[in-house]
Amino acid sequence: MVDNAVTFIHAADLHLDSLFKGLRHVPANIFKEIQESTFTALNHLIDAAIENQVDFILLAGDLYDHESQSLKAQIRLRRAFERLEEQNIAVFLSHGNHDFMKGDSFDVEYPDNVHIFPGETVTCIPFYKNGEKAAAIYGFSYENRAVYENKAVEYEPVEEDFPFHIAMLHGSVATNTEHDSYAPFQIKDLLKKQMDYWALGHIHKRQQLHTNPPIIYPGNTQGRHRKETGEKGCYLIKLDRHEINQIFLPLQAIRYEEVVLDIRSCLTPSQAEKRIMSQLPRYSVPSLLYLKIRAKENDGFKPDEALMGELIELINESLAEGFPWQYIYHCQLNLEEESTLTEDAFLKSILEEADESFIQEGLKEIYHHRTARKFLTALTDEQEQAIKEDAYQLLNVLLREERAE
Amino acid sequence: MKIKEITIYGFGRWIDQTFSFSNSNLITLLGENESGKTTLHQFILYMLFGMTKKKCDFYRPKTSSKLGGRMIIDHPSEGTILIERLDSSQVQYVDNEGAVRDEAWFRQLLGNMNAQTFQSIYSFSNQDLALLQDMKESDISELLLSVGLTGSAAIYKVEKKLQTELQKLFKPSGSKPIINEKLSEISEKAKQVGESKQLEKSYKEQVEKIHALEKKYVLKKEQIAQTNEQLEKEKIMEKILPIRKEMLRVAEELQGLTDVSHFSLDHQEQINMIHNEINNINRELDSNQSTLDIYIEKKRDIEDTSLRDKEKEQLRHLLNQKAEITLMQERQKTLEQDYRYKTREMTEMIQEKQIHITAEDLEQLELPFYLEKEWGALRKERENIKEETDRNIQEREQLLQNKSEVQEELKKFEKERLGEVHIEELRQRVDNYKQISHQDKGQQKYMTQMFTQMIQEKKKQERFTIIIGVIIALASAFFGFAGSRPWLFLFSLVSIAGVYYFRRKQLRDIENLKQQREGVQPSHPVDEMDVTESEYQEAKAILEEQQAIHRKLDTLKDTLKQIISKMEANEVVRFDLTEKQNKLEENIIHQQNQFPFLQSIDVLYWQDTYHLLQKLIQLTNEKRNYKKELDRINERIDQFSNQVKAWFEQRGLAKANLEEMLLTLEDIQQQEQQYQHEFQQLTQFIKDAENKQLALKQKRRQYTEERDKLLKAAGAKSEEIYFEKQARKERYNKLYERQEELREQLHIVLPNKWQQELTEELIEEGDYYKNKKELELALADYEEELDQVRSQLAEQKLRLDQLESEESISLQMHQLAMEKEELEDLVRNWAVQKTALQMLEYAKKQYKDKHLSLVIETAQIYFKEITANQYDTIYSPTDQHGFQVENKEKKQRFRVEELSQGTKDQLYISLRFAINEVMAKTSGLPFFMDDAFVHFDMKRTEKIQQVLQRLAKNQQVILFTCRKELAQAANGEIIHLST
Repeated sequence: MVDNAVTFIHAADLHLDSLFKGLRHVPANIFKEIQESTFTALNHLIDAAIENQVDFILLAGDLYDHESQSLKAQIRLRRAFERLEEQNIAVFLSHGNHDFMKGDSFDVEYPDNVHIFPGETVTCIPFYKNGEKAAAIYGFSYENRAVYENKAVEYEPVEEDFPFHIAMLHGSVATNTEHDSYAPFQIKDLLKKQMDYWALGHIHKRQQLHTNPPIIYPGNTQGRHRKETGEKGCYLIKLDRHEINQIFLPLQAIRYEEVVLDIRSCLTPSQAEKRIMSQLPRYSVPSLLYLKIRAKENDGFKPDEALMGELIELINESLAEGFPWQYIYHCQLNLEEESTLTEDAFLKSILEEADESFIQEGLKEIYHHRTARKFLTALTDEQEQAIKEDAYQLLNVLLREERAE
Repeated sequence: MKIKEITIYGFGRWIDQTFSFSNSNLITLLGENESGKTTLHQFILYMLFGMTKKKCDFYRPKTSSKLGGRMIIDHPSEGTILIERLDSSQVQYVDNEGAVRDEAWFRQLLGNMNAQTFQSIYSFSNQDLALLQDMKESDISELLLSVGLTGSAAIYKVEKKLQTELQKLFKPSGSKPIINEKLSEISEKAKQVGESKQLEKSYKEQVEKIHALEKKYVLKKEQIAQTNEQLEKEKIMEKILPIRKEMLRVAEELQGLTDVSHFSLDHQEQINMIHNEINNINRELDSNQSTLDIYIEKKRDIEDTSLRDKEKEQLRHLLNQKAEITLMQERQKTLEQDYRYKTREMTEMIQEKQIHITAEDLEQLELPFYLEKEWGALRKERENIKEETDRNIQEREQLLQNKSEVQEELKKFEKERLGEVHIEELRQRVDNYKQISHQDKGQQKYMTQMFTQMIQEKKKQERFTIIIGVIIALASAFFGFAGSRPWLFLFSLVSIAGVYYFRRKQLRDIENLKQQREGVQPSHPVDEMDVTESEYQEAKAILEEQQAIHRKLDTLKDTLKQIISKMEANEVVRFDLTEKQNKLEENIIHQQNQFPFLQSIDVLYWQDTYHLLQKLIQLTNEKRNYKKELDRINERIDQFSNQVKAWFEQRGLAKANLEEMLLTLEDIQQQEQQYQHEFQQLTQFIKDAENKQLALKQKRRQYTEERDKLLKAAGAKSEEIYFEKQARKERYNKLYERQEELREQLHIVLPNKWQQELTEELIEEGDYYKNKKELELALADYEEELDQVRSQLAEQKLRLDQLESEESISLQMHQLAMEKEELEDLVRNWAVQKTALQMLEYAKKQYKDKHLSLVIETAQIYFKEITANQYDTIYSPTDQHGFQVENKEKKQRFRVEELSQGTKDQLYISLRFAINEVMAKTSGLPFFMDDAFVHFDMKRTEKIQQVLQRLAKNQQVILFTCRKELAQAANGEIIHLST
């Protein structure tokens, strides 16, 4: 037991080949890259493991989505595991709520270096390094779509003499309201368990809940919509008797970013274009940008959705040629207007006190349409509200335009 | 709120004009048509709400560049407010305290109303009324509603626009609109993705299939292995079947041979050997006997065929003479040849020398030895005479020539005669010449001595050679006779001939030498004179050169004298020669008479002819000798030939020439010798064969005794029995060995595991082959099945590989997701527009529900009042029909178009008053009417007047009209607009 340190990578929520949100009219080449991005991130993960000569990799659930039912995801995963097998790197894998065991319709066989936690009961899989006990790894897999019990209480270190005890858990802190509260736990529950490391999964935003022992959500490995911004990746952990080393390794192939810009002082479209171009942030990897633009009408420049759309199209053309490329996939225009001009007095007085159920009724025409409904998701309240606001604004604009004739 | 004062800087036709309004709430602006009423109305609106640049330009004064003005308003709560506008953009609001306020503040005061709304509620003109009249039944209610809501048709237009836009985007059962198109596109894609997904879903199934196939494959392999083993077994059984059969047969046979199992074969070789030996001896005896018989037969034959002894003796005698005869024959041939040769030689010689003499003449001819010298002297003499005669003639000619020359010269030199000194010198020269001629004589003497010596030598040699030759000839003749060797005679003859020839040659040589010696002596004495004379001439020439000529002259005279004397001498000599010639001729003729053949030969060749004749005579002698010898030999040969012929006759053989007969004789003798030899040989052979036969018989007896002893020891009564037993024993041994061998073979062929099982199994011949064939067939089937499984497996694996590497499904899925996003966008856009439209419709409905009834009620009051109770009810428009009014007395309902123009106007004005009343309750803004009562009669005008007065209680009413009576009836402030 001279060198009883272990080095490993902790990653979760790979969501391989899962679908991206909010992308439309993306050029074919960029689209291909985006589509491949989760796999690229996976490759980066494997590269990192090999490069750092880790002992094993922990994958804490949600490696792929049953929603997208992608064979490619599992095949690529198998190939990745095969690469690790060649390098003699073990994989400890637990299934999460997106890749729960019973939902698997492919049953792709993974190589022997992959150790899968077999069910919803917490089990221990020992890890031997050079024939000696190196670590005991605990975890469980989601058999079904959801686990609502507090699984944290089930974790108990084995009596045997392992230098390290590492727990894998796919779930969220009980107070967390943003996500579905799967396998909810309290931090204090975890701390009681005398584990050397808690490898969590499920939450896509990277966060460290505790330092010693480390309780870490590594976040997902590749952002897939506007809310999963910034660097995405995994943690490289080295545990030894005296200290814990942790390094975050970014893996993402493409970054999702949100950018707020101000072009209120621009007097012409070309000025606006220059301003936007100059204010865009630069990254070391390709990026998908969500723009929020503050604009103002003036004599020479009346920005509206259509005009901005054209402008962004132009900007995208030049960004696509850059290295690494960037692509503005959405632009939200916040136009500053004089309030008196915006509202039609009669409409306002009438609609202020109106019962708005008629709006939903009207939208049924499409949302209940036999073909359309198959491809549309029901509107949320917020979306409905947003539509209402937009409609109101549109109406005012139209009426104003008509009256100005 | 009241307008207190209007100041126009420039607006349309108005320039620098100010209107102040009194406190009265009803103000009438009276003016003719084209007096600027409407412009003023517009100016007030411009002051309140501003104007677009385009509209401003329309109202810009033609005469002044200044557009704008100001207006003072009295507001119930804010007090006096000043508005000043210059052009479209410059505006200033000044409040009660003189502070400049912003537009928002002012808008607030106007109830956040815009120009359009304001106009819809607070202002209308006769143009609006005309518009109403043009409206069709269905539109009136809509328009009224729109007017009621916003005061304009904007809502209506927006509604239309939204509807059109929505139609373009989506129709529930259309295909062209954008969303419909997108939907069908997505449906298609989704269908594809669905299919692909379905395929992908089969992955698990495929993997299971592979597992199943793999299992099947393994099972099949095992089955094949088992079958193979079975087949192997059957094959071995089939293979060892003959071995086993043979073993069985061998065992059976061995059973029958058990009696000889202990029979000893110890002396087998010996007995066999002896048996063979005896056989060999018998065979040899037989062959020996037959050889002996042949020899005896042959011997008898030879005795029969060979010659009798007497005949043999004769034969020997004849053959003994053969050598001699052969020699004779040879000699005969040689002599004949020589004879012929000599004859030819002679003939040739005679012909060559052309001598007229025959062989017969030659036989008779005798040439005495002196004849030769005589003929030689004749020739010599003739030559001498001729020579001397020639010389004489030549000399004479020379002398004649010299004489003439000297005479001529004499004549020449006569004139130049010289001294005598020169003559003396010439004399000296003559002396010198004489000394030289003396030396020549000494030389001659030496030559003669030498020749004499040589002759003596030759003679000595001649003598010696002759002696030796004679000795040899005599010796050979003697030996030839003594040893009866004929060729030695020949040799002695040759030696004699040789000696003769040598002597002749030697004599000729000596003769030659003698002639030469004699030839030396006469040494040309006449030539001396010529030489002396020429030298003398020469000397004289030199003298002539040196000395005086006259001396020469003397000489010439002498010379001439000498020449003359010489000529005389010459004449004498010629005479002598002629004499000699005659004598010689006589001599020659004498000789020719004696030897006629000389007649045709010149004397010159007589000596040669003598030699030739001598030779011819010698040849004739030789020829004669040959002839003699030839005759003697012929005689001898004939004698022998006769003896042979006699023998041939006696033997009865055919006679032939001598050579052939001799050959025949030799053959016969040879044959006889051969017979003799064979006979002796045969006698010897017969003797040998008889000895050998005896020896063999002895040997055979010994072997037989030995064999009998051995047979007894082996317990066999006879040789036959022994051999039979021996054969059986050998067979036994062989079979026994074979059995062991077969056992060994079985052991080798059979694998250990099956040894016991297969050896002990009963022999059932047909089954193995059948089983083997069946197993082979089964095996082929299994192999085929295995192949099938293998190919299925490969196929399946390939399918799986394809499925695994098929990444386009993922791409399709993502594309579909994106398409969906795009659809969402389109749908959202649609939803916004749809919602906007719905809001608008809802607003309209709300209006109907809340305001219209109120407006109608109020309008009804106005209408009733204005029409003087003629109509008392207004029915609001429904889906089926528009406005309707009801007659008060008759309770008749009328549609709008059924009303008179005046009544229509009354209805419209009533509605406008009602809208003003209902909508303006909170605002109290001024009310404008521009020539609204054109179609009203006086009675109706009065009624309106009352209404207006009542209206003016609550708000400022500004009336623009061209009708004075109306203005007066209004009972308010009247401002005249003068042109």
